Amino acid sequence: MKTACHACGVVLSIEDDNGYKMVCPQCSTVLYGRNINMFYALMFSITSLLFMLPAMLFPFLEIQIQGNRISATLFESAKVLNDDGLRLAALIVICTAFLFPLIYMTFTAYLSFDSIVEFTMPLSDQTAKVVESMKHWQMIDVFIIGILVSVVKLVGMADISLGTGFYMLGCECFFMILAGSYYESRQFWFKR
Amino acid sequence: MKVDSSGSKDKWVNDIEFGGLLCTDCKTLIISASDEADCPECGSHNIRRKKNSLSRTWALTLASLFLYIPANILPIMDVQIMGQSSKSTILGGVIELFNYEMYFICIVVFVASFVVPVFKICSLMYLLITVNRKSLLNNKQKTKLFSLVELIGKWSMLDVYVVAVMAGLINLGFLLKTTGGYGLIFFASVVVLTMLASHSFDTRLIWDEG
Ligand SMILES: [Zn+2]
Ligand SMILES: [Zn+2]
Repeated sequence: MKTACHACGVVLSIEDDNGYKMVCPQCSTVLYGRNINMFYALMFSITSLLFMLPAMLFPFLEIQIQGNRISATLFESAKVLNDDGLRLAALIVICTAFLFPLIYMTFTAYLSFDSIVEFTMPLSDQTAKVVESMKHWQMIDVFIIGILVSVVKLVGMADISLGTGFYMLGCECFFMILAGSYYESRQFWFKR
Repeated sequence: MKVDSSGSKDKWVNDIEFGGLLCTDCKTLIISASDEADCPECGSHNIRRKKNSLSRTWALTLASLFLYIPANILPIMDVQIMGQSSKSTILGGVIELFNYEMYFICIVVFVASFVVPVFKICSLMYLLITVNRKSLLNNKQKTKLFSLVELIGKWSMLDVYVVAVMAGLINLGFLLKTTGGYGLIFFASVVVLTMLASHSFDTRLIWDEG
């Protein structure tokens, strides 16, 4: 099969597809990933999705100030931003920390399933393109570091502790990275 | 997997010289004389190079450069204690952390919200100016620089999340209240625009001759 490097355009031929890492000889960009296994991608993306709902519903931080016990979830935080007149910031937070990861993992699961089974699922071509862009726009990992920075900022001020939601977010993120590392869109197109 | 180029070791042949274009979906090299073609393998429509890549990237980079000014001047967070408000900008927040001797977190926030956006905007402008010109960095290093820009892209969103978390949590009415400032909108827009700018840049233009 003849192909070209997406980063520099050099023409290459691949003899067979045995799943090894392939590096462009001209610009050393990694062209195809490491261990590709669509079954693992399916399992890990479903696991990640299972953690997603509790991650959003349980508070990620709990704080005690002067006898008041306050906790926050992602939706509550976004709502406060929205009420302060920062609708655009609220929208960006909700999209990058909830909506995009949700779409990313749902579609990864869908396409992994598609490449395992014999038949072709509806709309899989369009879905495959969305997955590639959602990969860049999901920011669960940044959100997690953001929570930790807030904890450090508040630690002298109040009695603060990480909530259940934080650990759920951690698991969601961990399995999302795992699923992403086993998934390769080329695998899905090869079936055609 | 054996990889061999169609040319000799010294001179690689690129898709234009070969008379083909890459299908971005299934990675097949489509043989076509024109700049646009449908892939015979998967049917998706492809163009040889990203459309108006340079002008689009210039526009988005310059837009983020202009928005970066209000993002730094306007406050991103406002902490009100007993009705007394103290606003802080991005760099103001960093200085505050330094004064509280939280050095580690100070460096993290400084890198994510100041170094990364500045580095991204400067790198993109450097790549745009030197795209097919001889420069300090060779083509391989420029491609590496670009992938670094793409990799760190989303991390400058850190401060936006920090403000969101603080505003959601520290909300005790008159006693103690944290709200986001308008600088936050500009700052989030800068991050989004620089990410869009890097996505519209086509690194193959660095390697194309002429
Ligand atoms: Zn290459
Ligand atoms: Zn194709």
